[in-house]
Parts: sequence; structure tokens; C-alpha cells
Amino acid sequence: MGKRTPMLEIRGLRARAGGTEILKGLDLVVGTGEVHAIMGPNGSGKSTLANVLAGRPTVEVTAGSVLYQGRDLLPLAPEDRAKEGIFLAFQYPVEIPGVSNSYFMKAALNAVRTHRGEEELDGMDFLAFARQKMKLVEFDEALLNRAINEGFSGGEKKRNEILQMAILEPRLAVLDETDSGLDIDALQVVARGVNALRSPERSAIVITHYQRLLDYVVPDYVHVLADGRIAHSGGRELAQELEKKGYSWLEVAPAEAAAP
Amino acid sequence: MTTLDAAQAHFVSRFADCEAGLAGASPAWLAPIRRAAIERFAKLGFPTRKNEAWKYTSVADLAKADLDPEPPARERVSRDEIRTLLGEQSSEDWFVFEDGRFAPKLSCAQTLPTGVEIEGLAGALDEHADLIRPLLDRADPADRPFAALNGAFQRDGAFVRVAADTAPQQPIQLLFVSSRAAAGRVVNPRNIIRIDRGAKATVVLRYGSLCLDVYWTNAMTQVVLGENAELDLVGIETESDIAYHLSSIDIRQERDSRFRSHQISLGGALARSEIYARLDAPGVDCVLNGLYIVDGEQHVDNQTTIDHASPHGTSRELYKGILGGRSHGVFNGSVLVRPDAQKTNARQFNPNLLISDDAQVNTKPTLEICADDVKCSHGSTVGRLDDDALFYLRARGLDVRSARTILTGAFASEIVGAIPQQPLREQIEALVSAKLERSRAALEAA
Repeated sequence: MGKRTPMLEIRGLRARAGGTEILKGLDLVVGTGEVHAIMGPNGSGKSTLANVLAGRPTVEVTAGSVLYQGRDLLPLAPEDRAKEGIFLAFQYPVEIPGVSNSYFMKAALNAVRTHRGEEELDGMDFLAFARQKMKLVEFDEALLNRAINEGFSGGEKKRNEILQMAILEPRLAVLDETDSGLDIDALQVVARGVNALRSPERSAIVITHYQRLLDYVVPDYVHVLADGRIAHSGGRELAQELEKKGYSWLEVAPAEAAAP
Repeated sequence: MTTLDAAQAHFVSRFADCEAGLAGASPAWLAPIRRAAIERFAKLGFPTRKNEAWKYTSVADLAKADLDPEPPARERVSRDEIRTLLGEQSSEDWFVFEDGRFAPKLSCAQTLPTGVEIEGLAGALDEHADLIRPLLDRADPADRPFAALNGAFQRDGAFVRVAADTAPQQPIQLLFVSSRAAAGRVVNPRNIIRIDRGAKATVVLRYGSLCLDVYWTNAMTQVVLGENAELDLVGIETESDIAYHLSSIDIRQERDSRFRSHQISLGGALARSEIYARLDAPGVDCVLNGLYIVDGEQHVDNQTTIDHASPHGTSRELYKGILGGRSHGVFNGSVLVRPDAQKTNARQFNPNLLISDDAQVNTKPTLEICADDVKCSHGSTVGRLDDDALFYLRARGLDVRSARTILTGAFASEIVGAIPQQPLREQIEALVSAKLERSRAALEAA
């Protein structure tokens, strides 16, 4: 099993956003079938990492490599990454007036299906498929016919992200603080969405500020990101330790702590 | 003598040549009205850029085009040509005006809904003189030179009257087609739309062309809404890319009436629309919506005035522009709240989307408030597609081109979506997406 190609292999990643270096030599390997949690204080680079993986044009990679299923990810356009199975659940989902949620999701699903060599779904089939997924994440069908995220509450926006994830069935899901601002019910819905996708073929990176989510999505590994690098890695018990002690004990000596 | 002066002199002298012919079959009362109009035009002349209302729009090319205000001989456009022009799905139920003249034989509408009268203005002059004469005789509140020119040379156009307390289900669709014979000419349609007390209707004014050469549509439309009447006026301007299109619309609203205009501008080398809405009585509601999509070398100009002259009036104005190529857009919207117009609620907004580096927009929303108990807001923006929205769509697998198409269409959809009547809306959606497709193809080819 050890010879299996990892889902994601990041080596020495450096990246800038808004003229500032945020990631300063990050290494991370996510095996296929694994769920990794990434925690860390504000400004440590968690969202930048998520954006690098999704290909946001405003984040500039200056050094290092990212291999996705053994292939160089960095030259790929965001849409090609999505078609290859990478999904980013946005920390701040964008409101897009004038574009209906259902139209958007059907177009996205069909773009991905076409890429996989599957037939496109028509309106009826899409709706039937979407209904199963909506049930899973307790998504109000009325929101499907509204403009994307327009006037949605914070919780509705996050559910919308999870619904899209459930519909697109990615190989690598990256959740950028999807749990922030959610009550316990909504949190369980998010967890159900992630857990439903768990399989030996899929992986997930769960970026979170709070240990709470990890009670429901039990990670295989927990990493602490500090100042643009992985400062500490461990099992799920690390999350509980962080919850009790905070991050300060790690920041004292990130270089030593990073050594495995 | 400047080009503008020369053109002005040309039109004034052509009026002298044509006056007898214009009088022809018209009632005697029309002759002094025409003469007053040409005198007004002679006084106003072709506007220069020093004129605030024409600061960003030059009529130099129009003046140089040496066009003849005498309408062409009848050309007999065929029904097939009309069908082709309109597209398959929308060929039924149109009243056709060929080079400004009512063409009953081309008009496919079989039966008129109860309470609706539609005919050529020329044919309605005698019977409806009490209604039409004061409108034609009314001094232009905005001193517009080309509305005056229309007043001098107009021969025909649409006369629409919807009787009190009736509500025709179907839109009343008027097509103004410039024939091949319009080449080198000015066509001056004059339209009068009267919605009587308590009636409700949708009227479509569509301008299209079969003409392969330069021509000028110089249209003037007067709208009167009776008490508690309601009108959706849908303008679809699809002139050819070398045509000039100047259109003035005057709206007079009586008590508690509701007027909504939807002006879609897609064609023309120079297309300018002037709307003057006077809210003359209490409790009036006025909505001015507009969408202009231009590319290449097109120049589009929207001038609107909403004149709140009575209390408890509401107006909402939303004009949206999508500009590609080296096109130029102008928006000059003024909202005037007179001293008596207390409790007025007025909103005005003009967002513009630039889809090429060389397109430009001049936008000037203005508010002039002389009453103290009012709620008013205005603004404008000029920008590009939102990068975050673009990335969001791409991150879900949509390629850049589709993402742009979706977002540009979404920008337009707020205006198109407000158009009443499903088949009409679909027709306009198709025209809008065809135009956007063309703009994008030009951008990609560049």
C-alpha cells in the first residue's frame, strides 16, 4: 500500500498574495483515502493553501511543486482542476445575481461529466439527482431556483457549497473553514456531506479554526500551519490538545516542532 | 459655413420644397404646426458639443451624410422579408410600418383585441383630431432639435388607443422597418399612444432594417396615460450598424397611472434615445429601464428626464450598458423634483460593464431637488466582470468563455427579466444573447 501514488504531494511550496509571501516552503502529503485537517492561527496561510490548490489567479506560486495524483497540478487552469476532481468549498461563497443556482450546478456537473466521458444530464435527470443530494445536506429546494447565494444566510451559503460538493463528487475536496459561523445542526450537515464522500478513492483537506468539526469528521491526520509552513503534525488527538492549549506553545519553536 | 450649419440650412430649404406635398391630404390645422416646428428646428439647429445634452455625442457625421428628409417612394416590402427580419418565432401579430408609413397589408395581426384601436397616424388625424391635435401642437418641453425636425416632416406613424378599463392580453406590437428605398433618406415616424382611464396594455416599438445603405430613423413618440392606467412600453432598437437612430419619447401621466419603459438598444452607428417623463398628477409611478449592448464603432446615447411635478410620485430608473470593441456609451439621466412634488421617491442607477479595453462610457446621473420631504438616490458605475465571480464559476468546472457568457448574460438579465409577457421576453433574450455572442466573437478575433 505504501507504494500507492498519493492524492496530493506538496513540496517546498512558496506563494504570494497581494505582494506578500504567505506560504514559505510548505510540505504536505495527503494519501489517497485520507482525511487531513489543517488548523492554525489567523494569517498562517490556510486559505492561501486552499486557493493555490484551486488555482485562484491572484495567488502566485513562486517556488515548490504540487503533484495531484502524480501529475503537476500548477499549470492547470481552475476549471481543469475542477474537471480533474478538485473541489474547493469557499470560505466566502460569492453571490452571483442573475444566475440561477440550478442552472449553474447543472452546467458545472455536465462540464465535469463530459470530461469524465459520461453523458450530460438533462433537466429532469439533473433534478432527480440533485434532489437526492439535497436530502443529504437538508437543502431547501426553493434555494435551488434562486440566484447563486444571493440573499442566502451564512449557513445557507455553506450548505450550498456542500451541496455542490455532493453533486460534483470530487476526488479531492478542500474545505476552507466551511464550519466557521455554523451552529451545531449546520455543522452536522457539513460533516454528513464530507463523510458521505469518504472512500478509499477520495481524499479531503479540512481547514478549520475549531476542533469542534473534527468530532464529526474524524481526520486521519491533523496539521498545524504557522507562518506559511506546517509547524506540527499528528493524529486526531493533536486537535484536542490545540483546543486546550491554543497555538502559542507551537509557535515558540516552529522549526523543531516541524521535524517529524 | 460649418457642416452643421450647412445641414441645418439643407433641411430648412428642403422643407420649403416639400411643404406643399406634406400638406397634401392632411387637415388644414396641421400646416401651421409643421411650420412652427421647422422654425423651432431652424432656431435650434444641429447641436454642437458645447450643448450640454450633446457634450459626448457628435452629430458631425450625421450632418455630413447629406440625407434627404423627403420619404422614399413606397417600396413594397414582402411578408417573407418581414418574417425573416423578425425571426421565425415572432412573426405573428405585428403591425408593420414601412419607412414610417402604416402598411396594413404587411400587418399580420388578424383581429384586434376588444378596446384597442390601431391605425396609421395620417389616417387618424380627422377622426381623432381632438386627441391628436393638441399633442402635435404641444411645445417640446426639452427643446430637442430633432424632435422639432420630426414635427416638420412627419407624415405618418402609429396611432394606438386602448379604451378605458380594458386590458388586452397580448402585447400590441409595432414594427418600424426601413426598406431598401430608405437609403440616403430620413424617415420621421410620429407615434401617438393613448391609454385611457383604468386600461392596461403592453406596447412594443421595434425598429429594424432591410436597408443596406445609410439612413436615419428620426422617431418621435408621445404617450399619454389616463387616470389609473398602466402601460409597459418596450422599445427594441435593432437598426443596421451603419444607420442613425434618434428617438424621442414623451410621456404624460395622469393621476395614479403606472408607466414602465424597457428600452433595449442594440443597433445603429449612432443610436440616441431621449425620454422625457412628466409626472403631472399625484400618485404616479414611473419606471425607466434600459439596456444597451454595443460593440465595434457603435455610439449609443441615452438621455432621460423624469420630471416630478406633483406629490406622491415614485420613479425608478435602471439603465445598464455592456460595451465592447471601441464603442462609446453615454448616459445622461436627470431627475427633477419640483417644489410641489413632496413625498417623491426617486431612484436612479446606471451601471456599465466594459468587456473590451477600448470601449468607453460617459455617465452623468443628476438629481435636482426643490422639495424638502423626498427620498431620492442616484448613482452610476463603470466596471468589468467581477474576478471573484469568474473564479467561483471556473472553480466548478466552467471554462472561461462560458463563465464570461454566464456573467454577462446575468448582468443583462435584470432588465430583460422585467419585461412582461413570456414570448416577448424570450424574443428579446434571443436578440440580446445573439448580440452578446457577436460582441464576444469580435473580441476573440481581435
